[in-house]
Amino acid sequence: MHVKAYSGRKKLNLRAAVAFGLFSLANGSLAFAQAPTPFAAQETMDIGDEPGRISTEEVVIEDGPYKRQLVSFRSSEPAGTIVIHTSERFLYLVLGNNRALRYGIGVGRDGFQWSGLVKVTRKAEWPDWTPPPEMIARQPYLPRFMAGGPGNPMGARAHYLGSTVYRIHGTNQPETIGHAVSSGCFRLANGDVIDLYSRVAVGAKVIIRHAATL
Amino acid sequence: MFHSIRQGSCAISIMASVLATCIGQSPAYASTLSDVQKRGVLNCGVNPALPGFSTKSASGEWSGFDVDFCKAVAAAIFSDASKVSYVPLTATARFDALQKGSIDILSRNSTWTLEREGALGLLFAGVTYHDGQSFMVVRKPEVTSALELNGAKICVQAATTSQRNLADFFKTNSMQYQEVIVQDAAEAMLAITAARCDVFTADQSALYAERLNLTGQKDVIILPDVISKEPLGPATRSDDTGWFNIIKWVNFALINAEELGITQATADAAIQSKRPDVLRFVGADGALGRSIGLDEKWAINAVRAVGNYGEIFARNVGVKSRLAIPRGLNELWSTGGILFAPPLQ
Amino acid sequence: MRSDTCLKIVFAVLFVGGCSSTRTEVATPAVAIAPAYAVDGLVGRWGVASYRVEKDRARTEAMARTQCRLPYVITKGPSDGVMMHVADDAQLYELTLKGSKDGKTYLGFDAPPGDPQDREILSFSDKVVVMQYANPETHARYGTFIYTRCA
Repeated sequence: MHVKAYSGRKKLNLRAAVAFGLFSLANGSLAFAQAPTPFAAQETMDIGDEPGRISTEEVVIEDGPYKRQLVSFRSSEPAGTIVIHTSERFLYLVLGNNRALRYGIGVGRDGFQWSGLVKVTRKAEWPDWTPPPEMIARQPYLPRFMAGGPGNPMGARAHYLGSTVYRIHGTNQPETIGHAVSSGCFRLANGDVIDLYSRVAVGAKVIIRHAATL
Repeated sequence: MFHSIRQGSCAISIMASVLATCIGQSPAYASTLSDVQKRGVLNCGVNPALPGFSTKSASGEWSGFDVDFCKAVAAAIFSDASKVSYVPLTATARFDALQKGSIDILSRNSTWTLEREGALGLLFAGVTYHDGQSFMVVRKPEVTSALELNGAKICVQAATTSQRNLADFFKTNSMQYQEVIVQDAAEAMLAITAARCDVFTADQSALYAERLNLTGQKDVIILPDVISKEPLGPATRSDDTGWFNIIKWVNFALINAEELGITQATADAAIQSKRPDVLRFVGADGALGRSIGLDEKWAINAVRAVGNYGEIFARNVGVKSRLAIPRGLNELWSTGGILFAPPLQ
Repeated sequence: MRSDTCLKIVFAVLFVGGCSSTRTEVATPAVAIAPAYAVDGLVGRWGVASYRVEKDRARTEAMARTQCRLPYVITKGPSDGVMMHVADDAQLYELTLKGSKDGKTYLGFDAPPGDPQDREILSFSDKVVVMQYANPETHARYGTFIYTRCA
């Protein structure tokens, strides 16, 4: 009659299986297409921008290099400028006087496609999520629109960059911070993106830099 | 193939030394390179035990930031990073060992100063790590700058340059502080836990190492301010500028590799690059290595062995290590730091 | 962060473990009765959107109507069901509607109604179908789905 009851599917969404070469189509990402590197954290996590586990507003990176911290940073850019170093997985908020607040980020494939200067054109709290068509193709079970909220992959806050599809946003998967992930742009833990949101004004400059590639 | 390259470079270094004699350089021209090549192993002076910089495992393997520099030099000379004999040296023995020739280079968290070059007959081949005195602050999450430390209780080790720098910094900036003298870093951590002091000042790399011992303490901040200059780098004897050049350019090569985007993982792919500066680096274009007595693959061999500067930093003291020291001044000049290497041209 | 993540994984694993054991226990008492709606009513092209908080419901339904450029297409299955996805799985399965004794309607495999992999149908009309995953963990992640029929 019906197809057999389907069982045994693991419900855990953490697809931390490492997939190499995912970035080989993206510009400026040859370094990440090479495998295996001795540095596990530089590997690409094959993790979809799924409506994953709930991550609340309180989640910040609590220790290690991706914890939000004040660092020395020489820059001729004015205070309030955001500088993103994609290959290092850091976002710097320039404070002036040779210092910056550094946040750990996760960088998706989209985050490696573009470098240059944009401005924050809009900010939103608990933004809605519209998965791009490629993601729908990979994950056809996703809703085409998801109203903002704690399970939403966009997380607690979003900063929209220029007229591009790129965003600095939160995440419901804080374990992806410090990694290259297979989708999304620049993601911070929700508590950290809330902190950034409170410090960044619409109109702020955002400079995105990749490491040189062969 | 390896054999013929070595012969070639020997011939060139012999020619170079003949040439040097002809144009009337020092008659006592010492060729550390040919000594090292004859010996088949590089003698590298290192710190006996400094987490992140130089440590020996139970199985006898050396690792660390300074150790990787030794490996890079060995790889540039021998195409083999394992041809290093590590000589653990105390702070007092280190310069003596170099002067007497029992080591070929000193790669041991040593600060480049005038006195060491002028009076001790050494040459520092460059800066591999810009260290400097900084402040660890606890229980004061609002502090973002050393200029906000007015009135703080500050732990500092007795009879160190840190103590003098601390006094100078506060005087210069019209601030007061309560000095709490400690004998060593361990005592400082106890004093911090017991709230005898809220601030500990020492070199930044040491503060990050000590922070690992403060796991129970909340709100531990290491300020980005650096109030002194402690440029650490490898040193050679001053009577062999050819050798000095090799060490200097290995350092530059590692920095340039990061700037060019050449990594340990992409070292083999680099040969197929379309970029002329990458091709010069891998030795496919020109013979830069021969001009310093090495083969043309010297630079790429160093990167293949230990990675570029950024990888060496990350693995030993940076984001991939327990220390997790931010790059800070040790970022490339183009990304917020002051690391700058002349081009490989 | 790491310990936090580990903790979550542990919780998630516990949760999944809990689900499967519940399933075997529940298997006997729940008996399927005729569903309140005809499964063929699901066949067609749908705009799909989801929400979590009631205040977003009207907005989400409006957004669902705009998603017909990328519709979710439901076709008839080889037996008496329809071809659809379950959560977190890109493969199509044949699912069908099932009634339960407490008057609810579920969409899912040929298993007792209320199975953790089922969706519960909250409302059903020719133009709009509202449903949510029966598994509370899945529901928390995805929210409530609104399907609006494309013209």
